[in-house]
Amino acid sequence: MDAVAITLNGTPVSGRPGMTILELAREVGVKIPTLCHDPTLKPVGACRICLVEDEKSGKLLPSCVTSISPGMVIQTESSAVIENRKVIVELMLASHPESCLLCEKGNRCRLRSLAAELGIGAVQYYPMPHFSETQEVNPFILRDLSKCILCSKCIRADHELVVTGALDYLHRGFDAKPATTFDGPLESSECTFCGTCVSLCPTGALFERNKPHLGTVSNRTPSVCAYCGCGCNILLETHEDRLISVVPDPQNDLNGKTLCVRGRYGTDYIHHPERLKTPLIRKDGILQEADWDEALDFVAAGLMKCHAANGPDAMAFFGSSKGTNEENYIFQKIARSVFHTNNIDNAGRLHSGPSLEAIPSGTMTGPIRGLENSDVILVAGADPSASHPIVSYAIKRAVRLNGAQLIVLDPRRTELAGFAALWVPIRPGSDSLLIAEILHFAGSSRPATGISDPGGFERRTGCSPGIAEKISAMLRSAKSPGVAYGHGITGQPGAAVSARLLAALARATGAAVYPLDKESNSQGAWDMGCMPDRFPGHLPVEDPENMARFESFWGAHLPGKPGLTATGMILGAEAGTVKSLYVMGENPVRAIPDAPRVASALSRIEFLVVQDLFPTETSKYAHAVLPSCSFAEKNGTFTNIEGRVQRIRRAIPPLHQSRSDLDILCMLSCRLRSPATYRSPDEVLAEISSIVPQYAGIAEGLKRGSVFRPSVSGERPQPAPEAFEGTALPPTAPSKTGEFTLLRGSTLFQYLHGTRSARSSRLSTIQPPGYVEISVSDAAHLAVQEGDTLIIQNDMAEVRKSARISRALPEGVLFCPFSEPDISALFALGHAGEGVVSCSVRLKKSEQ
Amino acid sequence: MESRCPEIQKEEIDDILKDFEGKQFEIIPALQAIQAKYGYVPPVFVKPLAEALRLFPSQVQGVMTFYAQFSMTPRGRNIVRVCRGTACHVRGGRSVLRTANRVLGLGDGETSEDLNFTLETVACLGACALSPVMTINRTYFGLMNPKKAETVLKTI
Repeated sequence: MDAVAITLNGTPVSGRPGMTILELAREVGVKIPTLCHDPTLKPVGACRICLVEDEKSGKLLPSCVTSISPGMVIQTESSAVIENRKVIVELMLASHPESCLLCEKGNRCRLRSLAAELGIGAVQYYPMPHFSETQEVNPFILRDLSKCILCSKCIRADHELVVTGALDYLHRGFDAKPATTFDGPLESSECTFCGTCVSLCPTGALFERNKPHLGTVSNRTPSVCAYCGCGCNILLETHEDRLISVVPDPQNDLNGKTLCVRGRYGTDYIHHPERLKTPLIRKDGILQEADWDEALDFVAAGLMKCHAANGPDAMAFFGSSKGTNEENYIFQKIARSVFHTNNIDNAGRLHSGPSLEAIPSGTMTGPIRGLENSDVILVAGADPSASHPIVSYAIKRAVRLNGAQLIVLDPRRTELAGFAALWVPIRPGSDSLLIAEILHFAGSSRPATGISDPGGFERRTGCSPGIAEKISAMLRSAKSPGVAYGHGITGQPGAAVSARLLAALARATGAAVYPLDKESNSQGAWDMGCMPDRFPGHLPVEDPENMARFESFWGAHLPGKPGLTATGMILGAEAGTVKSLYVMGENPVRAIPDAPRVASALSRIEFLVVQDLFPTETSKYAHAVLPSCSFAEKNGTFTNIEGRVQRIRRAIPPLHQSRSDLDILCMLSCRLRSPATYRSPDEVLAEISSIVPQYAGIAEGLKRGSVFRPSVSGERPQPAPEAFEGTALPPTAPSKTGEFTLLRGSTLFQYLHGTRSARSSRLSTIQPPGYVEISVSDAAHLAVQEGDTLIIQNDMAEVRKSARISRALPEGVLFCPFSEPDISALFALGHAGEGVVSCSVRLKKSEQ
Repeated sequence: MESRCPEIQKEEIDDILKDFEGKQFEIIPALQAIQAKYGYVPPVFVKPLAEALRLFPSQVQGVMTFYAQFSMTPRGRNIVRVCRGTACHVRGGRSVLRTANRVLGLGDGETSEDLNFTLETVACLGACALSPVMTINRTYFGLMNPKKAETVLKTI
């Protein structure tokens, strides 16, 4: 297409057809002030500040919504433009409160800086201030709509970026304001407190509540959020060595201007008073404070002694799906090269382990943003609105803005079910049967379902066979389908088969696969070889070639047989074969089902070392507890669910005496007579890029921003071809009368087991612990009122929880967040993917 | 106010909304259909209507509160409108409104307890030659003064 030539402030410039005057001006470096404009939102021309003059007609045009046309002669600073801008700002100020001195927005207010630029002091108009009456009790966002200038950025961010629909205009004219349905407070609306509107608000109308410092912050450090595996790009705002606030990093192509409530407001756990302050070592049976030298000597001696006495098979290492790549790499290197054991795994085993058997390295086969352009999306057993919010935004944008068809397989009516063209409330645990049926209609081979009677399928899955045919047809007719799955698949019995079926379905229909099963650096922990059967780079340990490669690189003798998985280590401890366990940044008592059994197994361990931020249920049994620091206090890299490697950066120095996990491991390795000493995470990264094939050249790429690995081939991995001859589907247990299925999952406010989010005061205020959700019909049947105490029991344990009545649940299903620690006692400790998220329970109402 | 809203069954809601399933651009006809049946748009319709139209409840509310023709509270069987436009104002429109306030015992925008009257002010009724103007339902009463207005209002 031909370039469009116009004259801008007397200079000839040219732009692409369809460009607005504002876009062209910004491209050529001419400044035009704006209030309602944001490049990520549809322009609406609400504020009129961006007026420019068309010299030929003498008309004033809003530059953000006016396209360029050939021969235009535009003035951006003519006297008419300036005069009109002044009037607009003065009119805005006439209905604005005179509270700039008290306003939290301070000198970041766009209205105030615009008034200053235009030289507006006193306003000549009669002041007609708005009054704001909305009372909020949520701990995240306050609204003072007397300062609202009706730019509609909050409304557009809500509708176009996070697609929640909490806000829209209410009334019109002078009375107009952005409001929730029925003008209630935010907490009674659909608002998820992602804070996107707060980041975009040009004035002080929307602001963050409960900030520890109200003035301007002194530093903003780009980093990556450490909650879920999305790896959102953030800026850590700090002041005097304190983390004040977290905002989205404007320079990114991952989360754009969005975050979720955890990333935006849930990092106050970092300054929680319970943070471990000094190393602790067990002397005379009690944990006592020690200095670092003493503690490290104690740990080194303890590990060496145990190794010498019991051999390498008695040593076990529990890596971290929250630690950096560098930390996990060094951790497994110490385990393998110093202690000659492959007993190394990470806490991601229970949730993302099954994906490793379905998709190469368990990584998404398309970028998250790719979901936005999918025309048919299948979401199976996942609630990304709670577990991976950025993914849910992309899916909702695809549905609402691009007309995609969404299919949701979930017993619960999740937020996405409300956006779905087809929501299948499938019976818990029968997913693999339905997916196998969909696969069959897609023309692929599938495992034998073992159903002979005609009504068997419907009875076991709760849905008609026609549904499978319909879903299959929808996926096959799609141009670029996407298949997402989450803990509802990977935490069910037989998860590996279900995940493989989904990968096969994706291959049969040409869909991209999106496993939503990982924490901030689960992917990195797998990639770095924190697993018992693979070296870094997912290279099998049994392959002599791989072994030779790592033996020569590390200069050590390495073990050739696969080691114990995370649950295997606990079973080993129980059986007395695992004598020493080193846990880095994890809490197995919460992460692995059947907490009492895990705790008793850990209590039998002869030498337990725990590195963590907080005292945990696990550290109670430790012989040494080493205080590590949070992601905001260290440097390193994370690999997100897309396989994107990104840097995290230190924003504040480590609190108290804590050190980064990497520092601790390096200090320890010197005491283990290990030759490896590193002065910085970058030196570790350099070593990683020289030995891990997918990470070759990563350090170079990180200089330009984030890097998708594998960078060697430049291609994204494809699902491995699988055949299902002879594969049996996991059995779907018939439900017994009077039994309920208890489901566990992440919630928006409490991520996974809640070791961090439960210590965020704001997140815990909005979701106080101690509840279980029950369906409306079951509540009516059992005469349960909101807040009544329920007794949930099975053969393993009995737990009391207060009832919360939920419209999202079907009859016979209960839901409890992962972050309720005692609920884990109802689940059986098994191998990976054996019922981490569901179990059968009986239920009764407590009469007290 | 809620107590004056009649109970509305789910079937009734579905019956009205079935014609509008998926038709985003028919939001105004949909609101008009609801208002035609109940005299106002009962708040219980906001969420089901949004769901039927694939819109957010807040968007439905935004459209509804933008237009003066829609009301979310029950309105009287008789709608009295007094013009407060410029032409009516200079010829005594304010005294007509005061009369209506006194006779009906209602402020601007209010509805009587017995749901007999709603009093509203409007900016122009398009009959400036007859100013000051008042309408009751669809009937125009022109060249009003307080005395005439009182007589008219008392005869309904």
